[in-house]
Formats: sequence, C-alpha cells, structure tokens
Amino acid sequence: MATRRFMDEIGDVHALAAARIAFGFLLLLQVWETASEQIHEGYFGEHFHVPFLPESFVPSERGYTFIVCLQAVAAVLVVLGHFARPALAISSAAITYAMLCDRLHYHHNRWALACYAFLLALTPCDRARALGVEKNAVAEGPLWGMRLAQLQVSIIYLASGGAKLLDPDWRSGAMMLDRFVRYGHAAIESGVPERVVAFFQQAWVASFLSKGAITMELFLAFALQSRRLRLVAIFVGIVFHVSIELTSRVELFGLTTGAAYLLFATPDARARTLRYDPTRRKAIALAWVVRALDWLARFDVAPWEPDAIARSRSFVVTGRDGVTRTGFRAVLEVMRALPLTFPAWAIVSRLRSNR
Amino acid sequence: MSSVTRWAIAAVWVAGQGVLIATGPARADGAFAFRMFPESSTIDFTLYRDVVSQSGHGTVSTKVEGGTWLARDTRGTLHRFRWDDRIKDSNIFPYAEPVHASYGARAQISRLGLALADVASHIDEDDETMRLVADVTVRKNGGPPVHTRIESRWRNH
Repeated sequence: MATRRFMDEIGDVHALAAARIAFGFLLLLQVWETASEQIHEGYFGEHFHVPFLPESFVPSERGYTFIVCLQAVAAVLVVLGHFARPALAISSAAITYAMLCDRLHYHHNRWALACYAFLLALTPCDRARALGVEKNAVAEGPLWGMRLAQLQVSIIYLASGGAKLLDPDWRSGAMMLDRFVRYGHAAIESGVPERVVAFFQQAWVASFLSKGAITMELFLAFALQSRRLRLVAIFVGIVFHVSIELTSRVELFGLTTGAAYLLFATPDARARTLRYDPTRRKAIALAWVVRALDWLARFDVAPWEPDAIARSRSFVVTGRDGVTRTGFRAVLEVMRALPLTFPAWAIVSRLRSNR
Repeated sequence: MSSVTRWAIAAVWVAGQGVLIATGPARADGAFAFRMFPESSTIDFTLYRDVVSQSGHGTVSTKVEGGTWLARDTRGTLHRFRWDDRIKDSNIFPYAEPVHASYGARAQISRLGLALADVASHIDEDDETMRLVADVTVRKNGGPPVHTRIESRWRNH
C-alpha cells in the first residue's frame, strides 16, 4: 500500500518548484565553474585528460564550448521554469558527459547534482513559480519523481556512510586525526584558538568524531525517509553540512544537499494561515517577511478587518494542525515553516523545551 | 506515464545506483560511488628522466627540478620542456613535497602513471629522454610512508 502511494501520489508542487529554482542556480554555478576551469586551464581535450569513454567520443573544443553554452542556457531556463524539464535533463546529461570525457573533473558533488537534475526532470516542477504560470494558481501533479529524488538523498548518505563504516581507518578515527593534525596550522592561521585545535588533535576526539560522522550519515539515510524523524534529520543534516563547509572544500555539495532537502517539505500548499492587522507596522513587516521567504507556499497570508476582539493582537497564525497561535508562539510557527528560518526555529524551540 | 513505466524507471534508477556504488571500490577514484572524504592521504613525487649515459652504455636518471627540463632534438637544437604544459591538475605536480591525495592515494597513483605516459608521448622534440620515472612517497591516513616507483614506457627515438 505504501509503495503504491509512493508511485501514484498526486500533490502540490510548490516544494518541487522551489527545489527547481535552487537547483537552477546551482546548475548556473556549476557551469560557471566548468567555464572558469576551461578558461584557466584551456580546453581539457588538448592536454592530459582521463576519459571513461573512448577518446573518439571526447568532443572537439568547439563542440565542448557549445555544450557549456547549452548548459548555461539550460540552467537559466530551469530557474525561469520555462521548458524547465527538458533543460534539467540536458543539464544532467551535459554534466555527466563532461565527467565521462575527463575523470580528472569528476567530483561527487557534480555527480549528485547531475542525479538530482535528472530526477527533477521527471517531476512536474514547472507547474508553479514558472514563467507563464499564474502566481496563486492551484498547482498539483504526480509526486513519484519527487519521492525518487528523496530516495536519492538517502542513497548518497547510505553510500557515503557505508563506505566509511567498512573502512578501518575511518572507524578508528585515523583518517580524521590525520586531517586535524595536517590542517591544524591552517585552522590556527584562520583564527581558530590553538587550544581548540589541540583538543581536536587528540586521538580519542578524532575517534569519537569519526564514529559520530558515520552514525550521522547512516542516521540521515534512514531518518529522512521517516515522517516522524524527518524534522530532526533535516536539522541534523544542516548542522552536519555546515560543519563540513566550515572545515573542508567540497565545492557545491552542501548547497546541493540543502536544495535537495527542500524536496522533503510536505506537499500541502497554503495549509497554514497568517492573518495580520494591516494597521500595525510589526504585523505588516511579518506578513512581508513571510511572503518573501515562503518559497514552499506554506502560508495563506491576508490582512484582517480590525475589530474589537482582534485589537489586542497584531497577527494570528493557524498551523497545519488547526491550532491558532499568537505572539511569540506564532512567530515560532512561522520560523518552523520557512526554509531559511527553520534552523533558528530548531535551536530556539529546543532551548525553550529545556527551560 | 503509466504506473508500469514509473516502476520501471524507478527500478532501473535504483539498481543503477546500487551497481555504481557496489562497484566503486573497483575504480581507483571511486567515481560515481559517493565515497566522500575517502582518505586523508598525501602523495609526493620526484620526477626523473632516464637518459642515455655519457659512456653510451645504459641509462642514468636525471632529476627534473620544478617540473622543467632542457633537452635536444635530433638536430641538436635545445628545447625547454615543462611538465605542466600537459598536466594541468595541480595535484599531479612534482613539488617534491607532500600534497593532499585528492580522491585517495590509489587514485593519485593511477593518475600519475597515466600522466607519465601522457607526457612521455608528447615530448617529440626531446631526443634525450628515454623514459620518465616518478619516485613516489605515499602516506595513507597518517600512516608510515610507502615508496613506489612508477615508470613510463621506453620511448622510441
């Protein structure tokens, strides 16, 4: 029954549209990176390269320039939502083809981006927030492609965490300890206190963090697929990727995963409401912020007619659960539902529950 | 799109990912297998040219400093050759000091072998170098140094 729902589900596509736009910008960044490499190093085919494909399949310089230009146009079309699905498929094929022509330019984050672009091409991600689509139109479509993309996130975590689990150097912490020792001076140069660096350079700390990283990746692989654990998993995942971004160079991997997290939003457009007093500044400001940051179309925002009952409050938020909230609790409900403020909500709500 | 088609696409996709991930260890760089941060290894190599000895018998190894060397062609004209004329990847340069082995030591050794072969086959105006040799030191995850010697094929003059 569950698998049947997985393949036949119909639902709102605003989360898909938000992911499409995010991936569109990432594809633009990716093509910029590729073009910069070619400008900086020259056309890869004219110097040392390692193709997966037979050499005769490697394009000429002119052919490759055309592909990169096509990729740039496709990325813009993805952002605009016009001809977006073919553009996503073209982007995915172009990234994969480039890596097959030169494995020196293979990077896991690029392959992940190519996978997500292909899977998004299978979804109705162009039915909302797209050129020619009315802003408040009801936008629904089959979600099986989105579920497959969600599964891809777990596949990546499972592959990464599983490989680490099978590697004795990872399990023991030897790999991480070497990183901490070797790059410790770089951390100190960039302002990290020596005592902090020395702390991380202890074998037991590296061992603990290694096991933690493996556990976290495997947890994310499974927890993201569980409705009950998803919120926790997304917050843990954000913390995990931010810490990686702060300590390593991973190109677009963190942002790619962040964009993929948008796919986990429950597809129920305008299931929450924000009603606000149009005569009060702070209420207008909140409504403006919600409209600007509500990329997943979770709120129906509208002013109310001021009356005697409403005079005591500036805004009221009704959650998906039907419960109405005002004041700080309403702000928290808003923070929880907006992608940009979600991490802050997780921290604040955790602090409140500890009180 | 029919339900059967959806199932077929999903099954092919997941199976394809499974195969790529399962076969990842078979590829030196683990490409398409999402093996993030596989190692914290370093690699450093010194580049040598095997040239005909002055006695005319056998070869001697000449160290290549800074990835650049001078050699004569068949007419005796001197040419300057640079390793990075062909090899643009900064992780494969004879710095003679350890650099991070991107995608693991095995990947970098495999790439270095291919790079040696590539350079050796693109120095047509070098009539002196018989082959290129890399003296490689690898430290895997902070372990003890392991020395390896990689040689290009003999060049036909």
